[in-house]
Amino acid sequence: MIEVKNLTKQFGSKTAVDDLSFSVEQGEVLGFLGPNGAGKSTTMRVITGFIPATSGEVEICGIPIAKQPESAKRKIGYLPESAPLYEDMTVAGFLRFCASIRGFSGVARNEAVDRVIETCFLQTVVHQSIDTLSKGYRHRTCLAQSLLHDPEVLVLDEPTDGLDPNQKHEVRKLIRELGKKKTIIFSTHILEEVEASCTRAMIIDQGRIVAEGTPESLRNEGSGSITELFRKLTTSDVAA
Amino acid sequence: MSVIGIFAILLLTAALIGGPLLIANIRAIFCREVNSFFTSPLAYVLMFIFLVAVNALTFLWPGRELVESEQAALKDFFFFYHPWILAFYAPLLAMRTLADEHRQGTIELISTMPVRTIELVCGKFLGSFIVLFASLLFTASVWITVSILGDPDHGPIIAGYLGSLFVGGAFIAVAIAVSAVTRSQVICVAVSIPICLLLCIVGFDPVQNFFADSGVGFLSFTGELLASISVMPAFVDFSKGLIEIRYLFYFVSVIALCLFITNTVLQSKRS
Repeated sequence: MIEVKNLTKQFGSKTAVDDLSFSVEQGEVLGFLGPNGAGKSTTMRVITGFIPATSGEVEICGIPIAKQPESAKRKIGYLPESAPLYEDMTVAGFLRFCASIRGFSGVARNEAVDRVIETCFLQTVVHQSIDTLSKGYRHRTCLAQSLLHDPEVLVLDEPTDGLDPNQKHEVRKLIRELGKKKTIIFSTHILEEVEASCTRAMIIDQGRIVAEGTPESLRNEGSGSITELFRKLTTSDVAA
Repeated sequence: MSVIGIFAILLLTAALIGGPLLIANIRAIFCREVNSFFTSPLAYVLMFIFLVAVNALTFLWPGRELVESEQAALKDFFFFYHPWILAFYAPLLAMRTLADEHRQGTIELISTMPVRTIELVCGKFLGSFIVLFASLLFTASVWITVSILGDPDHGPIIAGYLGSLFVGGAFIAVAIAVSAVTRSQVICVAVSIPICLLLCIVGFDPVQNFFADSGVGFLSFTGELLASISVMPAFVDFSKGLIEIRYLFYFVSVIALCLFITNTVLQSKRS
């Protein structure tokens, strides 16, 4: 599970995340919504241990990421926003490298790589160089590395960005499937995605939670549409 | 200077033993570096230019042609040029290491995996170092040539090679430290080559003679100070066949200092 307590992150004088607290239990899929610059990616970067919090705490399955980063990182699979990859490697080479870092070797490593290649539908590009991949394949390759070690916690920053409708559908299905056993937090701009895959959603703006609940309760709050609620809550802040 | 050296080695050791060090992680990063180097055509171009430069300077430099000198010792010919060539070659080898991680954004990926920053830094350093080692191995053609043409003393040649490895290692460490700060390979090269050249020039004989001959106490002291930070006095001893503990210590401390700086920069960059 993920436990975020009073998380604040400042960059100089700018507060990107402001006293954020929430928790995600096992078997939950939390959708993280918010306009650009709301603090979604920053929160995810703190949760995954890429950047330290200015104040507050993050625990992954009870392990504080600030104090025991390596142990906590073993529990997390992370898909960063821009799906960064080593351009000069092949898909298989990249996944094998990530699997080695995740502690796999020999047959176990090959099995882990084969499993994620199948899960993320990468069979046709296995031996292709990453710099020749389309955006959709790049995203799925990066998603594949996050699943290699079958992590308890998945943090996915815009996992469906750049995918075509078929691929989006498959990834949403995958998230739903994985969400039954794992703890998942994912960010998105696409509001129907929340209804399609999340058990709970949170709208944040200017680093603060402005709405939280099940997709249904958010829909009710927004008089029948999450989009309405999103626009109401986030545009009002822009106007202010 | 030795105080700084001891301090640098202690700091790097503290960073290394600050947590469980996974050799498997260093090995994985090292292998990726080496693979990535040899899949790039640039690598072969760089190696080719390096070998051409070494051989051309050794055999063709006017007034210093190895064959015409009828000497089998390599100190004044082949090894004489090594620090200068390495001042260009080592930064070119190491420029991609961390600058590329920042440019591609993969630093975010690798930093969120269970890898300690120091493991990343060591893997990167060793990756570039082994390529340097392979490059120097290819220059053994010169050694073979003088062995066929004459009867060289192999001891100083082996020591000279050890010196070249240390100088190259120190320059790679300098370039890695610079590449931690920037995402541009061009900036990395443009900054680290002058630093490496400076580490050569300040201990180069003509420069040292200038300070020694000046007769001014302050300048003589400056000369000694510069010599103590330069790779030259150490390298010259190596190429003569002298392996002194203090010079081994010098190279280890330069490498330790640069790797420690890299580790610190990478950690502080994220906050």
